[in-house]
Amino acid sequence: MTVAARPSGRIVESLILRFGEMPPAAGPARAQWCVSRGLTALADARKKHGIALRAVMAHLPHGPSDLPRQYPLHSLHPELLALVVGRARVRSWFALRRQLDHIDGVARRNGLVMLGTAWEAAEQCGRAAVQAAADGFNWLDDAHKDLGGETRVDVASFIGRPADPQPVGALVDAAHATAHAAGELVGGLFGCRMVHDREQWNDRCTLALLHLRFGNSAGLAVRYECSVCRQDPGDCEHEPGAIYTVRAARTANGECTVCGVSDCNVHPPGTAHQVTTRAVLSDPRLREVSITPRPRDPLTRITSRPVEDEDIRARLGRLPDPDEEILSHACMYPCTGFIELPEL
Amino acid sequence: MRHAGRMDKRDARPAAQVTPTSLSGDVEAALRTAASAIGNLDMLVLPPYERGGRSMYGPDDVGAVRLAREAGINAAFLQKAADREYLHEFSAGWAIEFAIALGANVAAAGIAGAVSYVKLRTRDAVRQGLHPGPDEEVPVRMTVARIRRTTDGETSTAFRIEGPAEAVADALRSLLAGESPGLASDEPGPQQRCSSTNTANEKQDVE
Repeated sequence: MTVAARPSGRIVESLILRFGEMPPAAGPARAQWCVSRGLTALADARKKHGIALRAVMAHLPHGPSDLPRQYPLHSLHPELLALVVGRARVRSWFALRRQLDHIDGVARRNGLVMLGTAWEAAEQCGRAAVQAAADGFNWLDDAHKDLGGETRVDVASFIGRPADPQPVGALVDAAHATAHAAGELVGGLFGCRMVHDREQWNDRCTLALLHLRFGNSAGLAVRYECSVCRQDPGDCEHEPGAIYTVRAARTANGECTVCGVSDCNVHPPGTAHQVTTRAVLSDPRLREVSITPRPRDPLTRITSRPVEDEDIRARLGRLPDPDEEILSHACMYPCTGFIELPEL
Repeated sequence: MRHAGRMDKRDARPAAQVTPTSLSGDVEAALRTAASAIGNLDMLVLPPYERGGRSMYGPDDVGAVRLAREAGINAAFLQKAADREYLHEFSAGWAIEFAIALGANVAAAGIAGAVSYVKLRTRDAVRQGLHPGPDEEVPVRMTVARIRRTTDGETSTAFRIEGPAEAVADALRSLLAGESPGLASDEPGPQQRCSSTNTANEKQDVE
């Protein structure tokens, strides 16, 4: 569930609630949950970044040597140095992009396509890598708050293949570094467009928004149902974890009494099924949303923020028309740090 | 994890804080109507949270009555199932937060049962991974209400006990043991004896 708020007349969009399982509220269970999902997301980000990078390199006239020299964009830079380095990176990437566009133009004039479906697939993979790295960072950063940076994680036990134990802090850094590396590839070759929507320019750059270290915690009022009898589990006699035989039927709302899904076609009415007793959340109602440094769900964060007109004028020397394509170069600039929620 | 307890001077063991508190309006009202029913019960499980004028249970309260029965306590929820809502929100600090109501005259077995209930809630929280343990160090915030019958009808007094689980259990034991005679007679009431102080701490400090 995404909502838009309008502080000071400008619209900010936020993800406030994801449906599905919620991380435990606190304790080792939460840390375990966050590490597990963080490692999965980080592995996914690295894999997708690798695929995108290989696909890009296959399109380069001289292979990997055409790419701008690798640079640790994730390491903290002072503003001035970040500007100098960033501008140079933008020039390098855009020169490469112009070269590729030129070759593609020549190829197309000869009935060939160089930047075709494989190139588009690389873009999709690159963008997915940025999102996965940002998710990984958010999960692991939450675990870092409980475990600290020095606690070593038995990575192999989480990912199910050989891997050295890693300190939590190193895993957070790795996710941050992957987000910057994948972000630069995407911003440099495919471009990140600012969006004009609801009378303002909006920044929806996953990498830039990752550096806002606060999110949304939703307060919900819910009811619970026993998975076996559909009564409040506080009253029924079914032991949590025990398995019972349930005869499938449909409730007055059309929900399956075995799985709780509406329009279920897996459990025909009258058929018997084994059901494990657990409390099933039902009838959730959103009560309030808090902006907090540590959201209950680490992924419920700001998804779009306004770009002030003065900032756009400062960059372009003018205010562009709403239908113009305006690229954000933020992904090619080094990291200048994180923005924490100000204490009120 | 932050603990709210004071430090005992001798053994540096964190103590619990006991403070008088008030119950929310709808819980008070429900208790008045439920008080006649509590005669058959040892304990009522109350909703510990209030949001927007409505009292709500926490997600961990789902198994509260079942746990109470494990402790040998004949317990029930204050609110019937149709009225029961559970609050899902991020709370920092307390691994467990719950509320109970007991009759004014709790016998020794009842006190032991209530203390066992605290320990079972604590163990359950550690089992669920909400706190790394050990059990006695789990941060607990509990509200305990005592229901008594007066000439004006049913009234209740309530206390909030906060601290590590073991200290909370000790404070609850002291509170229930020390308070029963006061409620049954004209002796000074709990506010006078416990107001903003910690009976358990006072006892430990002079030992």
